[in-house]
Amino acid sequence: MKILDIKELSIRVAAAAAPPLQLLEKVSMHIERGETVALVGESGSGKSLTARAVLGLLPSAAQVTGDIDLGGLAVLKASGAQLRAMRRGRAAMVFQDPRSSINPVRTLGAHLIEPMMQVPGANKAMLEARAVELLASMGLSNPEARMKQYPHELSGGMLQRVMIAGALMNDPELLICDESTTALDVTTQAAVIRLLSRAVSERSMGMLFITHDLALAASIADRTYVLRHGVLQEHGVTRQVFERPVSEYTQQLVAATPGMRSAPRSGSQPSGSAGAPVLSVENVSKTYQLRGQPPVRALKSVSLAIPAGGGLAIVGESGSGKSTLGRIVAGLEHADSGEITLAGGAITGGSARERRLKTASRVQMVFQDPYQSLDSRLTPAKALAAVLKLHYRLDAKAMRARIGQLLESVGLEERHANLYPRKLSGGQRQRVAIAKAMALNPRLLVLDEATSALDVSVQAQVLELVNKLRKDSGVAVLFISHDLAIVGEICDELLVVQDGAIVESGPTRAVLGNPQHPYTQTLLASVPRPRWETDPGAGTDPDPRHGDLEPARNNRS
Amino acid sequence: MSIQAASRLPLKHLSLKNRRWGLIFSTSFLALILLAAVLAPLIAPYPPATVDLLRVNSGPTAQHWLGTDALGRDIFSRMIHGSRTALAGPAFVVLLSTILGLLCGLWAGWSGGRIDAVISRAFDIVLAFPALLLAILAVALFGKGLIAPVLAMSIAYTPYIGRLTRQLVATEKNRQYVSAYAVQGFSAPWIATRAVMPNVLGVVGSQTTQNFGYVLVELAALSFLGLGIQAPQADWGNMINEGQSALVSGNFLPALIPSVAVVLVVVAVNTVGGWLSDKLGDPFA
Amino acid sequence: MAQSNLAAATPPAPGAAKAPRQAATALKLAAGKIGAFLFTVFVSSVIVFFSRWLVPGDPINFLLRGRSPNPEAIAEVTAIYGLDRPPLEQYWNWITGVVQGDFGRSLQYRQDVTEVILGRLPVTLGLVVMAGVMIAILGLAAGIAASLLRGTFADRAIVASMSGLAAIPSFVGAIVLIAIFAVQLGLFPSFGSGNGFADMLYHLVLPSLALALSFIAVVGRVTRSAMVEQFAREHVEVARSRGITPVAVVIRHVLRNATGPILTVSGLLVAGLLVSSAIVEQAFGLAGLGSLLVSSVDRLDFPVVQAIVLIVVTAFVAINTLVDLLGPVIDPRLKAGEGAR
Repeated sequence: MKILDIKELSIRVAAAAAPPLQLLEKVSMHIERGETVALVGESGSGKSLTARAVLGLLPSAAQVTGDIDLGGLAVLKASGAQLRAMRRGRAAMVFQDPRSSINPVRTLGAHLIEPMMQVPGANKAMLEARAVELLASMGLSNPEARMKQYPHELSGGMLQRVMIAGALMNDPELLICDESTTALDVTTQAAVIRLLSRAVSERSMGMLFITHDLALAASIADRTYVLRHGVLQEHGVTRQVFERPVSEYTQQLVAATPGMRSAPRSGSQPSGSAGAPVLSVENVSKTYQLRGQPPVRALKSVSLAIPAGGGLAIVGESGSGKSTLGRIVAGLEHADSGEITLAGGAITGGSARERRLKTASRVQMVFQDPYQSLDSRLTPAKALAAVLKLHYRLDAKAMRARIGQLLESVGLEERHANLYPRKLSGGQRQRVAIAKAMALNPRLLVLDEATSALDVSVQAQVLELVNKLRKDSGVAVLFISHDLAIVGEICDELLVVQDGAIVESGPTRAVLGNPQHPYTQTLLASVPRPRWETDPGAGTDPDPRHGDLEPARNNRS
Repeated sequence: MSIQAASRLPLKHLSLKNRRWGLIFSTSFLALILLAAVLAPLIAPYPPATVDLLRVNSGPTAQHWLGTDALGRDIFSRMIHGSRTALAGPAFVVLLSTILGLLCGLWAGWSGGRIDAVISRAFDIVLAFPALLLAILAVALFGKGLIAPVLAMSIAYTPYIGRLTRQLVATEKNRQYVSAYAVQGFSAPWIATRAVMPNVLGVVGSQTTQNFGYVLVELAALSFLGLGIQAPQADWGNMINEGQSALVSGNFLPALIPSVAVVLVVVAVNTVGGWLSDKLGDPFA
Repeated sequence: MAQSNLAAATPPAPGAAKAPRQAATALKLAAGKIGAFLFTVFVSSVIVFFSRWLVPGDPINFLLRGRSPNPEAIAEVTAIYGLDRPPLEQYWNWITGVVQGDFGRSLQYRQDVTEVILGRLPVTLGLVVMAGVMIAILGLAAGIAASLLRGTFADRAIVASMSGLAAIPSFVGAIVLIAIFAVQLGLFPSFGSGNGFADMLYHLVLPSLALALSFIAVVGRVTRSAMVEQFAREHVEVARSRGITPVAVVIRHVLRNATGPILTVSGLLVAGLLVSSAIVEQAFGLAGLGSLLVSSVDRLDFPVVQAIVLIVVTAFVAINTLVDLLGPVIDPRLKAGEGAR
């Protein structure tokens, strides 16, 4: 039986003094009872818009045509009261960021029971009892006390469980998850996904699972729709869509997705090349002391080394101290104790300026968010000129030549040289950031989550670029990431950090293939895998109510 | 702070077309006033202090376009002469407070820690004194006139600029582009002045123009209270004060004309300021 | 499998152990704010008292400006203000008096400053309270209405008239209101504060309105922008997606969350309100604190000026401290000392 039936849904927005923007073009899809359907696409594909359309949440400026049938209710023609009744009962939605989804000044209990309290004759005590029961089934300890807590007192993963409990309060027939696990750490994501799957199978609801992450879709969905620029590219049984994609776009998408692409196109060099290490870190510790809060030990006696031209990945979840380590290596912060040695020995003597420039010429860093790491006032050409001017004496001609060469080396064209960052895409901006780093011919490049803000296809291209640069210039790479699926494609050595300490290290393939430490094993098990690869049918999936709320941590950060 | 943010808001919601006309009108109006202030003795048809007891409260005539006041002085001429102090006072306050505020704010926001705490506490204490109150205190100490209140108000307005600058700099400092500069070997002073400052100036500039309006009103209020510019000298504030007595007898013009002038200048300055902040605030976004 | 290896880290369990610690933090925060208040008032009193020393010359001559400097007068002033004592002792004597409600002697009235001030207080209080009520009702109403109608013509009309209103200084408002309502229509008196309570209220209508005008506009704008900002928040959309009625969304998720910013800005406006009351009192011939301040400056009665400045500063800082203390009640995140919004 179809719970949701969308027929030829088109949405456009009339923009002032511009041709109307076509956001969705004749999208048709349906969801059966007890079925999980994934809607995948990159940013701007219109997937979130589809979800909002189903709940009748479109802005009044949108021109909608087509038909949405939600269990017999024609959503596009329904009255306000009908829509509200539907949102309270039949369909519920879980949003991306739980932190901003719950009113921060009201208690969780008030949040949970609010919709049902709107129904005449609602019984507050009964609703609260049900809310407590749902919180418990979501694996939250001490649910009664949670009802009186405020959102800021809970972690993101716990809040998302509260959101799901709120969505299940009135046993909806359809649950819509809009990037609901994107903001979570990988282990938390895995736990939330299990909760969702279980809720769907227990209640025989339908679930519309919206995500940009193909691997995640493959791990949860029965069927999958692929959306791009508002147009459906492909749909079908998930396995078929991913293993034998028909449309060219889906093929590209699958090829770009880490863990799905056939062979790692690693450009990494064999490690163990002789000579002094390009970076050696010995017993580095760092503690942050914030006023009125217990000290946070971000790094606990960490040691590592990278050989010249080598590649080392550091993997950990948020708060593991991996970014702190990167910042210390790049000289942005100072360690409380321990030694950092860059190739060429300790930098002593000379003026502060000389030491600064010398450090910069040895180690460079690329940051996570390309929208923030570029100065919005400088075009790529000007930004590169500023760096080059600081370090080298070049005449105008040599400067132009060098800028052109640098831009070319990161795959940018001449026309990009004089565009302000706002005119560049995320991938292009990240290329500019890389060009700036490479302008100084560093021996070591620190990449701090440098690809995690990018769409998958762009991510693959940037990774490819880094591999090419490694081959061409022999620069060593310290690759900091939360994503186990991509580290294998760039680094030969892998380090797993948890709570500021290294828990496991070794050659990437060995660590990923045969993890020793329980935390590494958990991380690996949490990486989404296609359903058809994991053993179906077998009831080995542990009850998500037990344990693994958050990865074991000694202190929060 | 949020007051300023809020008072900037309305401009954004007027349509572009309205805004363009408002901007053209405001700029030309301000240019006209500025010209009048500079050329006052050349333009004004009468000396501002010439008393003509035969033509008291005359209302607009061919000789006196805006009429005369209770002492028969030409209102139009007095308006022109009054524009000098009306513009010069706020200009000085805004200039001084902006320079001081930028320096202190940059220092506090960039250094953080103890320096930040001390400067911020100093700002808090100055903010406890409303600007007009500090100006009145200055008059009580040093006597009536323009100089003491202007200096007092420069101090009173410094923390408005300073706090804003401090907050903007502290936020900018944690942005990734600042780290990116640091990694490339740029020195902290270079980053603070060459990269962060330009990103801060736009917002501060709009605050500055807003302050101009506030200061103009407050200095006019001071002379309205009889504590600012003194009697024979023409000033919009004491023109309103003097015109008030004619109000009861139904002669509105002597008080109303300088009042309207104050309001128009403030609106014009804010319009230009709003446009400026949009232009400077984030020209590349 | 691996999951079982994940040691079940107990999330911070809410409960009995946590409550006292939270209460302690809240208390500590409140104590800090009150400490900051006392510090600011103390430093302000130092500034107000020692500002006299900024004026070059003999303090006796400063106090006796405009009065005949005959030996008796000098002796009297010296005795009353203890001018022969060292400055720190003078300050100590003054501030201990102030704490007990004794602000010293007025030069112009030849009576205690406290008495003079108490005689003027009712008018100013009446004026400020009445204006405050007008500001709260009209400002909030205009702001809420505009935010509900955001994007429509009515919204633009409200916003435009509020920007016009905000540009009207209180002395201009006074002039215009007197011209229209007192002179032309003859509905309200334009001068004096009347006799008796009801008459005083009647006399205060126009002054309060003149005082309130620009503040109504500012509160209206702040309310509108705070509401509009909340309307754009994701949790408001989430509330809508859960079938909450529009009225409940506005009250519980928008207005409720906008209260904090509105209150904060309103607290800051008090400074302008207190100072502008002097202007309005002057324009309407009201015998309040503000007109006392002006006449005391005029007649070189520095002890009264000192007292009023300190009172206004203290009142302003006290109200903002109060708003600050209310913060955690309005926004529970502030209880934990975390950044709000």
